[in-house]
Amino acid sequence: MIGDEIVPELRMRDIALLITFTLGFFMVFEYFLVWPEVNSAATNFTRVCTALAGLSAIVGVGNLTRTHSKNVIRRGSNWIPSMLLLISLWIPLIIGLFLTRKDPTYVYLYNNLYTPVSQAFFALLGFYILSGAFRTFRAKSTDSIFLLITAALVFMGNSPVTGSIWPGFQAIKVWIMDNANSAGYRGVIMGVAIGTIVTSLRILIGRETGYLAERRARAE
Amino acid sequence: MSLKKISGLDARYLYLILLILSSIPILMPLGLPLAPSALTRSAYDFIENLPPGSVVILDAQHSTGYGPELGTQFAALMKHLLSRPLKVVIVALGAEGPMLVDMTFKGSTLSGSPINPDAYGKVYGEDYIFVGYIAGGETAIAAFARNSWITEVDGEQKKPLSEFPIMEYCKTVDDWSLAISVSGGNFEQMVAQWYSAYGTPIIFGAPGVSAPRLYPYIGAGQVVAMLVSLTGAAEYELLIRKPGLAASLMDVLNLAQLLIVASIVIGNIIYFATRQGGRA
Amino acid sequence: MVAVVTGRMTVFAFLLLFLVILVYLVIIQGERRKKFFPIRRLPAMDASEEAVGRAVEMGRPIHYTPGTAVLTRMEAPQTLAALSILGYVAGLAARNGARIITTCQMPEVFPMVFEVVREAFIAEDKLDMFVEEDMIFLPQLKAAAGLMQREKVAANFLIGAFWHESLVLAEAGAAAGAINIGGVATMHQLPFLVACCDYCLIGEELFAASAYITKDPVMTSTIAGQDYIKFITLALIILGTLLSTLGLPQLRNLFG
Repeated sequence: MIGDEIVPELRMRDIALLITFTLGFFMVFEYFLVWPEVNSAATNFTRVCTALAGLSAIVGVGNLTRTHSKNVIRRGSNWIPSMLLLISLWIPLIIGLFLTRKDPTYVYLYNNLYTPVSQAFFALLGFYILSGAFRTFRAKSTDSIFLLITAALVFMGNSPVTGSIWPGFQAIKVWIMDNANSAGYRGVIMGVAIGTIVTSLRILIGRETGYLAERRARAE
Repeated sequence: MSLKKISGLDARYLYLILLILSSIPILMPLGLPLAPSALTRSAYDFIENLPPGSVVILDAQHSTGYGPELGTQFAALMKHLLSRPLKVVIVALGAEGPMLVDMTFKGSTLSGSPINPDAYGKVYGEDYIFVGYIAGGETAIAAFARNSWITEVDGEQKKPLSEFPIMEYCKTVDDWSLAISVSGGNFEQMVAQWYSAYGTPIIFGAPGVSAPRLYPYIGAGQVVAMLVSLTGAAEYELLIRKPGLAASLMDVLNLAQLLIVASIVIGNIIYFATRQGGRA
Repeated sequence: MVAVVTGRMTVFAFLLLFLVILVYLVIIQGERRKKFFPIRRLPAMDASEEAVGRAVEMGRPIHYTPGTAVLTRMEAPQTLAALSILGYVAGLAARNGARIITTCQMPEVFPMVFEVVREAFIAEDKLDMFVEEDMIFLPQLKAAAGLMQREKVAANFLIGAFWHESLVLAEAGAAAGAINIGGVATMHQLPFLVACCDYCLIGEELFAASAYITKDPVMTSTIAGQDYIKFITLALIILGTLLSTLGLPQLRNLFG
């Protein structure tokens, strides 16, 4: 790592954790304070972080280009899809740098290349829901029987056709969503929210360091 | 074909059945019945009862992937807002927002027929405006509430916001009467940054998979109402008496839902039958 | 002049209380007294060894993805928790000689994923087994579905914050014949992963997993702190409900 020759690795880790601690708590407490100088600094810091996050896209683009151009040069397996990937990555990227969103070429690429592919990816979900429902929704236990009955009632309530046959399905569905579903979700939401807060505090005080890729001692 | 064979059926046969069933209503519309739900009606009534001159924020935070599910919601909401004497400030808090706003006005496979503000007697800069895209996720959501002029120039003509009379009525979140966000997955951030912080009424346009998690917020009064999936869009089109793309696609959704129910029932019949056979 | 934002004083006070509880448990109980708070079984983490063993026996790779939440989102702690678990799973893979393919959709997380897996292999003295090409950046994580089916993965770990791609990946793993181990705290994907995975970390179990793996007193102290905070929240809910029912809204109004 850069600086290892000059500064021991341990100190670099401590500096990283100190920066995390200081800036993290600064941002946390800024949310609660009305202090113009601090609020302004926090806003500017957030803009810097947003810009950094955007720049990180370069890492992704670089990795894709490196991996797939190696495949194309070596004529490895699936080199044609790799070449298509590189073309569809770089050409719109270059075009987008020089054209605005109103330019007919940009609009054409967006409407005819990006939009259909994007929608096709999302449409996969519908097919996978069907195969998932066929494969996994089995009444194997009492719990799963209750789950199936509830799912069937909600489906009936959601589908306008069955809702028109008997309006009671809508009423049952609304009751299930407003009461049973909401109660379950509220419990999980609160647990996850507290877990998120504690994990974030753990990261800020330097007690959660898994993401730092530290060399762990082999667990016995 | 034995039950065991059906149970081990390649999933691609199921996909083929779904593809065929989805194609039939597109070629031969079935006209299955549809009635607006209470949730969609709440959203409609809230907008319908806003006093003239109210500032409404319409946020395009969805993406092309959600396709007509959210595109039609956005279009139906836009049509309703333009048909009323309101000040509509359109913002894009998602990266694809500007393109989607363009596609909504020009008409597309995602949103249906074009929307012509002139037909509603609306003037850009006076009755409605697009303030552009604000990057940053939740920080952008918070920043936009603190300062609605944060983009400094509009997203359409690239002129300073000070040149548009509508923006005199919309400086911070205190000027907003309603915030509507059509989003694929970012909901809690709006509740935290707009409702919890400032008490702003919020209406969501949500995909079907996200809707169940928003019911607690509606029950707690943190969110006024929401449009759920293509069904919500179709119901809204009926309420504003402008049936469009969503209404025409409802037949597809109905048949797909019935197929999923049938696959669950058949899957369980096969499970019980083969289990009984195994025991014997 | 400095002031607390109107309406946020109560939340600020509770945040300070949570911080005090956490720091007390971590420093006093965890670091000084080395008190170990036992965590109940997490079947998903117990199954990880089984899953890696299965991959070794079948001679097929493991697939791991840490979700799709970027670090600027409020779901970022889930991504970081997933990275901790990745280190553990990668260590198991290295120790047992299994190939691990890691896919990542977030460009700023990708270098962290790379380093976590590489360090896990170095810790097991198996750096020669580490394959750079198996650390894959995918702009759309759904593309991992095709990868899983081509590579015929034997174990599929879907741990982190997911959106719509979770079902696609779980089904693709099942179609490839893999054992699916999920872990998610994003509400809208919980039902899909719980239904389609063989084992699943549900909600806050994702955050407890790294403490469960390491059995470190400091980490388990933070989980205990999480539970104490939950008890306080529960007590406030019950008290607030009772008081509101009796026509005394003061506690409710305190929270805005």
